[in-house]
Amino acid sequence: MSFSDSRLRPFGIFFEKSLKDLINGIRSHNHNAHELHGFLTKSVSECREEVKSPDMTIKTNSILKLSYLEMYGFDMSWADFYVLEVMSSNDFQQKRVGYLAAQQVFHEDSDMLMLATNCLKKDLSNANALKVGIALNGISSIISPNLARDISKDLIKMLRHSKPYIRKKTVASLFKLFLQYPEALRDDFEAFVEKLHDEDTSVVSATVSVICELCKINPQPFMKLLPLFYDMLIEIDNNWIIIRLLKLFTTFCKQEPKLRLKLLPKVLNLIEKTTATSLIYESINCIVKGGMLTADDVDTAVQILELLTKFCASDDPNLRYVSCVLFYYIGKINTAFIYSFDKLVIELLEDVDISIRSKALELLEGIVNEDNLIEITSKLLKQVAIEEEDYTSTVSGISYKITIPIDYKIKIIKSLLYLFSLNDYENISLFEWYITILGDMCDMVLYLKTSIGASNNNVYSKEISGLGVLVGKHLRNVAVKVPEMRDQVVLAIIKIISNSNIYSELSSILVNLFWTLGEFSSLIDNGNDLIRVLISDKEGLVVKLSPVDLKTLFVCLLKVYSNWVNASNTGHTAERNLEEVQKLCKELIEFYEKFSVSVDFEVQERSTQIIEFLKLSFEALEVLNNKGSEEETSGEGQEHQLPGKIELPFLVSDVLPGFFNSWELVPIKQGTQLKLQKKMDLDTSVPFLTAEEIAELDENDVENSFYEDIDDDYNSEVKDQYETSDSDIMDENPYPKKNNKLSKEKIDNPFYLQDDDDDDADGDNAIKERDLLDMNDNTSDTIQTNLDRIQKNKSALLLDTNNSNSGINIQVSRPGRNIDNVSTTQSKKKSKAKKKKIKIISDSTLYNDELEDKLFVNTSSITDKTHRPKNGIDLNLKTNLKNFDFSKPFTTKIGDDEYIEEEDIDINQLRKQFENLKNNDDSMNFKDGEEEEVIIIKKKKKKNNNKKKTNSGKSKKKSKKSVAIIDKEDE
Amino acid sequence: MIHAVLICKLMKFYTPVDVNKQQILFQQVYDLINNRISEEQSSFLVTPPSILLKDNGASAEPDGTDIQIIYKNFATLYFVFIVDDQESELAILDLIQTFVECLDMCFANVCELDLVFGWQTLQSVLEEMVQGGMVIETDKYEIVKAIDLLNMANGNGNMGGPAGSNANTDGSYLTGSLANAFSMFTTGGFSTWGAGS
Repeated sequence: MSFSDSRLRPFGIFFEKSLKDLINGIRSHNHNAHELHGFLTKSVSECREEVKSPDMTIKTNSILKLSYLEMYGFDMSWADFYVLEVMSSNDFQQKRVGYLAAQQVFHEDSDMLMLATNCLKKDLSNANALKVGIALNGISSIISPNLARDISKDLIKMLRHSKPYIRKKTVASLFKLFLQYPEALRDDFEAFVEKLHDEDTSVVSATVSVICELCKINPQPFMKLLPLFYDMLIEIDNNWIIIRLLKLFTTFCKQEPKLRLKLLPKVLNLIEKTTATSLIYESINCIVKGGMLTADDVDTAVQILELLTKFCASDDPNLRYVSCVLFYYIGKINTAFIYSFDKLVIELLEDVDISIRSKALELLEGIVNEDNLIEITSKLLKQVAIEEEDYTSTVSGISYKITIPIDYKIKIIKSLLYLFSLNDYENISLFEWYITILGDMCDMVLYLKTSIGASNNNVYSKEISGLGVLVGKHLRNVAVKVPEMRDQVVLAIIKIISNSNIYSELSSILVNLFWTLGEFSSLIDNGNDLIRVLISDKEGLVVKLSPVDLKTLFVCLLKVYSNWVNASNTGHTAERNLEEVQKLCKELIEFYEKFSVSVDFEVQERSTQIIEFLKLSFEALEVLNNKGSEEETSGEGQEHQLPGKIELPFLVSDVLPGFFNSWELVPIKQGTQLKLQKKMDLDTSVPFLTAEEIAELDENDVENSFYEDIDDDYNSEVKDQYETSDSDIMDENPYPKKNNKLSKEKIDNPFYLQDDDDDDADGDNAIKERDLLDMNDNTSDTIQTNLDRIQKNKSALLLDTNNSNSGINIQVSRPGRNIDNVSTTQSKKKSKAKKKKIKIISDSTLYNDELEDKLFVNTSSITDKTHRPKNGIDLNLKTNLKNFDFSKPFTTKIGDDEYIEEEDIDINQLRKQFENLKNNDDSMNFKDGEEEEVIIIKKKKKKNNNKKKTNSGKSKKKSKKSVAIIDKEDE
Repeated sequence: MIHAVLICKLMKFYTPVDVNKQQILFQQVYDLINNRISEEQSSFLVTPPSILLKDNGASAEPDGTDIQIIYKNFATLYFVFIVDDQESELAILDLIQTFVECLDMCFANVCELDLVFGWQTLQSVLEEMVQGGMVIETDKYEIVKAIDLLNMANGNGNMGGPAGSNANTDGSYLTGSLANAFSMFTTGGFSTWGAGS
């Protein structure tokens, strides 16, 4: 090799590529990704050869190139040995290259690093300050616990180096060293802290920086220096250091709230004295983040906010941004502080900078009210609907196109939905507007989804599906909580689901929509048309829905059917005759049959159940139909039936509604059901009702409930706390409703309770739908009243669903409200009308057990707490400084290998000991002292070892004994 | 502390990160920045690159993460600093300014091409300003002085070729104004490694 090397290098000149050649090469191959990759791979393999060269110049050159190539993703950790070689070179510039590469290579505690320790130690003790400097630089990147232990004393010594250049570098590398080896901080605390008084400012600055970082992890050892820092804050006039000190005090204040009294005046004073914006900002930051601004401290708040408002109006976007962030934190301390700044915040929503807009979104909660919500919403939704926004700079006059990123759009929709539902729709003045907006949002989410569909961006598609769920939930909630708006919601939902794109792109919204449709289907006049829309194939999309969606759809269809068939209001739809009922039943059966072979067992089971029931109904209808046509002509029959109810078979007229109309639903605070479970003492072996009671029930319409039998207190408690708020869960009303007929089989049916349990186990805080098997023949109060209302006010609303495919008109009755007032095509921008009194049902809770509430919140926050994904980046530094106990006595160092060995012996000894104890209790008769030697935990062992070193004689004996025991056992 | 610095093709991580993830982060950060108008918009990247995100899009929580991405651009060059909450945002912006001023002193009228080819110079300037994630020097004269000393220091090894001859001779493909691109500060020593001989 050396021959060929020399042959090809006449005049001693080498022709290997330099870094410059490499960069040039990369640039010339840059236009084609494939070509570039080829070139890079080729270069790497060239380097692989070159690095083996005995010529240090070539070796160094290739290491430098490899370090550069790593920026293109070519890992160079394989070259660690060569890096070490270059690091150890006598040539200073080669050494520099070596250290540079080492910072990229030696991250883990590799074997090579152990070899490097010697080289580092040598360089650290070099007389040449520059060599020491680059070594220190390297150390801060490559330090490991072992290395830290080995060189800590060397570094501490360097703190007294004559050159400030070295001192500051030493301080900086000590930061990483302390993280890896906290013992050094404990043992040489004074020597380190002394640097706060160094004559060189950059050394002081570095020391403060390091202390600042260390305190973030563990402030405890530095607490005693508080007075010193306080004096520094007053005396020093270097802005860099003051900013650092402010950061430091922020950390301290979080630990020690008492500091506030002394520090706050000082910081406020600092704000007044200085002209540097960054200093003012950091002072405010310190006050806010350090918790020095209390919720009742209006004076300070006003002073700070005045400054921040000025910053927010600044031309400097950076200043606007950071102030906006601070506004948020102030608002979190007390919303009242920022309430009056609504104008400013709304302005910021249209800032040229999306980052600032995004922060302003977070501020909205603090400033939103009934009057500005509509303005805010229209401003924001406009931004969701467009891709780019034109902007002409006021300063330079240049026009830009601002791209509105998708995650910002997602954030807008999330924030708006949150604002709408705040405190039971506190800020909604016009519910028709709200529902229209929800419909618009659904369109927008769909649009977002389709717009990213092509790029197949998984991160966002998951988020957008989540938005679908949210919009669905909000539609559902408004339907449940605001009874007067139910017809509106149903209309909006029908409009949404007639768009078949929803099925393919945004099926996550469907669960809640289906449920709401089913639940409030009594408001729909031509349910038969709706059913046909729902069961229409939509190019096979329905069949592809998820099991959860399907299950909800199944029940929904049954509900719509039940309500349509049994509606007494027959005025509008003449075709609600027996034949149509029967025909629809048949269509439904056909629909469900598609799923009777579903892979999902739940879907399969449910569809089969429903099919069986519908088949029975169909037969019953057929019997009736035949009878009717035998007795009279069909036309006469219809007329005969028209004024009243169609005479339907019992199965359809009573049993079918009985599936669903047991309870009126009310919204219930999240977690209430969980509490209820704990509270109830249920003995499942005892029948709910005695035979007599059932008989009694069968005779009369008794107002009764299961719950009263079980826990009388419960109902009264519920009533007491009926009005509480804030949640999105709804549940069955535990209130008893009129029980008309209570058939025995149903009550005894064990499934009833089981279903209850299942739903809870799911933890699904959405709606618990009534199960099919819950066959209580009750008629809901509300349904009755609704029907009454409908008869009074027969106005029905026709909605063109805009879907030419289905071409249906779903008519929704609007009970008890004047139709003239409202039109469904209400404009978004319609100015605020006089607020009507609309009844809103708040969430009900069980009892005001705050502790339990907290518990519940805790558990949910635990589940929310997520770890970084495996493929993400974790920027946390590994350190055991956090839990390091600085009060422990000094220790001497122990070699790691020795340590592990000892540990192994411990475990082996323990294992053996237990084995022996098991086999033969008598075989192990330890004396007390020996036993202590064997059963020992890791930490104690360490101490023992120290002892061993100090007074070796005694402990050596002990360890010998334990080894001897092992030997014995081995035999 | 400063977790990472990204400039051109220079990626310096003060917290260990896999090489593959470095690449992804680099790409994501640049994609995000490219969507912004740097003249008018702020230097803060509110949307973190998805690789820095926690699961379930915890980004909605404003105080969920204390990592900030602060960048500044000069012409088509971006200087990106990834820092945590112990660093002052505005101070980091000042630091970037200092950085550029130092480069300007090294290259005399720094331009993009300088930084592309002066990768090692970037490294050494950065090294004198930030060490292990800590800012150690903010005075540009101190920084450049230190680099001079380092570059002029000569070891007792077998350096190939006379230092300083390269930058000028290899400058043929650079623009004319770049003939003096490598100022006296950087012509010697370490930076010659980029040029070879």
